Formats: sequence, C-alpha cells, structure tokens
Amino acid sequence: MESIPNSMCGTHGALELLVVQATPFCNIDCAYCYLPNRSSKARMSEATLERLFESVFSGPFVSDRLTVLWHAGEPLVAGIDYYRRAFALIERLNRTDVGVTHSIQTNGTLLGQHWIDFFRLHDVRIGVSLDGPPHLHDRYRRTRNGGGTCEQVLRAVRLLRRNDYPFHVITVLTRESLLAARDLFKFYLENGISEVAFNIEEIQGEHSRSSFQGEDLGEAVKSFFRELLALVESHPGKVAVREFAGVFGMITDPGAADYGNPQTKPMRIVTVGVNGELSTFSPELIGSRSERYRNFVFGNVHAGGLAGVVTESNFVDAYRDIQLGVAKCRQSCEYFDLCLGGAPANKFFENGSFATTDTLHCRLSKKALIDVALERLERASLLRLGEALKLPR
Amino acid sequence: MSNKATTAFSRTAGFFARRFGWACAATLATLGIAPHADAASSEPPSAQSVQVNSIPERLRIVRERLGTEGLQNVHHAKQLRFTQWYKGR
Repeated sequence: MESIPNSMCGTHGALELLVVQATPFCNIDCAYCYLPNRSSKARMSEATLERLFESVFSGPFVSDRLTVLWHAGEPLVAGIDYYRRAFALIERLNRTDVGVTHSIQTNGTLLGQHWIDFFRLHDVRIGVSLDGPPHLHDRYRRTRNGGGTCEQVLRAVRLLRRNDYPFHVITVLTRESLLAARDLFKFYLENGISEVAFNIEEIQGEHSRSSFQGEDLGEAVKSFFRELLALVESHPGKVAVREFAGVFGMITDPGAADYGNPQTKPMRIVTVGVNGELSTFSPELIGSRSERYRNFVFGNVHAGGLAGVVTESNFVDAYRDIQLGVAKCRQSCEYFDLCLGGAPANKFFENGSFATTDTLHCRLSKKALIDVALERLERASLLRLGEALKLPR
Repeated sequence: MSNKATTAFSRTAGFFARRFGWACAATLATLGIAPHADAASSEPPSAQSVQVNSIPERLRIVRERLGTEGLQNVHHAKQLRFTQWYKGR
C-alpha cells in the first residue's frame, strides 16, 4: 500500500468521488460551458485507466464505497465498448470489494437503447442535462452549428421513461429561467421528470461571464425557489428537488454538518484528466489556468499516483489557501454552519484567490436557498403553534 | 378572512413571534386571530421578519420549535440518486 507523509495524516478525507474524464470532447457546444478542451477528441487510454485504478484501490484514501463519475466532456462520445472494457478493468482491479457506483452525467443526445441496456447491467446512475422547455434550453445548450438540442434530449428522456430507468435532470438556471418556475415545473410534470437538480450559471474556467452578474439577483433567485417550493409541496411525490432536500437536510439534522465540505478537504473528491492528470478539491479546477497552482494539476497516475498528490508543493499551497478562505468564511459569514466554507473553485474564478469569501455561488446557490428554507420552516413552526393551541387552520 | 387578509396576518404574526417571542404570538392567537401559517405559500415574509434575528439564532429557534420529528415531516425526504458533487453541466 502506498503511504503518505506524516504531515498530511488526518488532513485528508476518504475518497468518495472520483471524477474521470474519459474524453474532454463534447459533441455539443453549450454557451456556459467551463471546460477549456472540449474540442479535443483524446480518450483516456487503457494504460492510464489501469494505473489510475491500481492507485485508487491500493492507495491510502479508499474506503468501502466509491462513486466513479464519468464526466467533463460528453462521456457517451467515448462509445459503449470503451465503458465495457473500463468497467471490466475496474472490477478486475477491485480486489478488496470496494462498493463502486458508476455515474454518468450526459447531455442525452447520443443515448440509445443499447446504452440503457448497458446501464441496467451495471446499475449506472444517470443524470441528464436539460434546462427546461426549448425557449430556455436551446438558448444555451446548442449544437456546434448553433442549433437547439432540446428535442434530442427529450427523446432520450422518453427512452429512459419507456425503459422505466431512473434518472435525474440537472437544470442550469440562467437569468431567463428565474421568471419561469411555473413553466419549468409544468415541463417536469409533463415529461415525467421526478428528480431535479439546479445549478446556477456560474463564472467558472472558460466561462468568464454569467447572466447573473451586474445587478443583485439574490431576491429574484429567492422568488424562484419560493415559487418552486410551493409548487413542489402542492404536488406531493411528483418532483423531488436536490436543493430542497439538501438545505432542509442541513437545517433539520444538526449532525449533517459532520459530513463536512468535500470540496475543501483534500482527496475526498479526486478529478482525473484524460492523460492521467490528478487534481482534488473542486472538480472544475482541472484544466483551468493558474501559474501559482500550476494549473491545479497536483500529480499524475503515471508518476506518484494518488498518494503523490499530497506531497506536491502546488497542492500544499492550494490547500493552505483554501483553509485560509474557509477560516475567513467561518469568521465573517453567519451562514457558515450550513455552508461550511463554500466552493474553492468559485472563490478562485470570481475573486482570483482561494483565500477569500463571498461569491455569486454563495449568494445565489447557498444563502438564497437557506433564506427560503428558513422562512418556510418558520411558517411551519407558526402552524405548529396554532395546532398546539387548537386553532383553526 | 380573505386569502389576502390571512396572508397579511401570517406575516404580522410571524413578525410578532420573532420580534417579541412566541408568547406574544400565542396571545394574538388566543384573541381569535389565528396565525394561519400558509405552509405552501410562495409569498415572501416581510423584510422586517427576516432581519430580526441572525441566521444562527433563527436556525436555533426553528430546530427548537419544530423538534426533530416535526422537521423531518416538513419536507418529503425522498431518497435521491444524485451524485455527491453537484455542479456539472
């Protein structure tokens, strides 16, 4: 088993998410994409995959469970045979029976019956990127020729539903979506989409502008989530929203904070580039430019493996700065107990440094949601009071 | 009460509860003015009501008032199959 230096003992967490870039290539060209090399048709070689998983399974970071997320580029571009070989290889190297869950985030445009058969065989978790009806989706999620992709994605959704294969949808919220909570909810109902996650369009990597910049849209985001919450609650069991499950979970379970913030602890999330480059903390960092942190590449599976990451000087610098940022958040932000220091990638891309605090991501994805959830619970506690006093509802 | 009046009252009751404590809200309630907490309302509370307490204080009060059991019932906790990292496109 590889060992790590004593100085790093106790600072890393167990590896829980391995983001693997089978290919950086994407067959479409979303306006808000943050990946810099999405025109590269490189594929991760079998030798790299082998070195990677040897390093994972024999290394000091693995625990009894691991999610492998094939992402960062359109994963289905690599082809089904690629994954057949990759999954077999991983199974062969997994000699200690780590519980591996494969997960694929796809734009859906290449999904066919053969994929679903394959997913079922390996119980692969599927996320489909879909921003809502065509007037919202096609505005940003376009083909390389500038055409819309909504209809192709809906075809994939229909196929998944016909096969009764569970999936979730990731919807990127843009300025235009904020007034469309009702349209989005109706769209999910009409298309049998029962699990949804929202990502706010952010400044990340190559995507250096956001439609949320400029005026403060915090109130508009809160209005969106308030309306959506009311819709979700008035249609019980129809649509589950990751953001609500997450924020209510944090508020209602004080022990949830013990889980910590995987983006600020080394090695809980490891991202692997197509040539075996290794990164940790926020997955969006890999492939982005930084002189100080040498482009966030902290090692390579072919040289040092996972254990080598924590000895690299650029890793030590990044880790120190991230911890400084978390300390500043703890000191200055009243939302800290529920947010636990935010996302290092957003701090870096928006503020130019990990050792900072407030970001658009904080304001729109964290604080706005917490405010809405607290308001909702405060209403509930009033209702409880009324019930205790046997007051009419 | 009309819906509009009910909502207005909810806000007032919430404001009083946060500002002066639950006893005051209860007093209002016993006067026959029920704090009709419109659970699924998409209406924002008044600006005052969210400024009265800090987030940690509001969190503490909510946890205390609702208790673990009540809180678990507030939102349906369907087991989701999302991956842990959540910012993919």
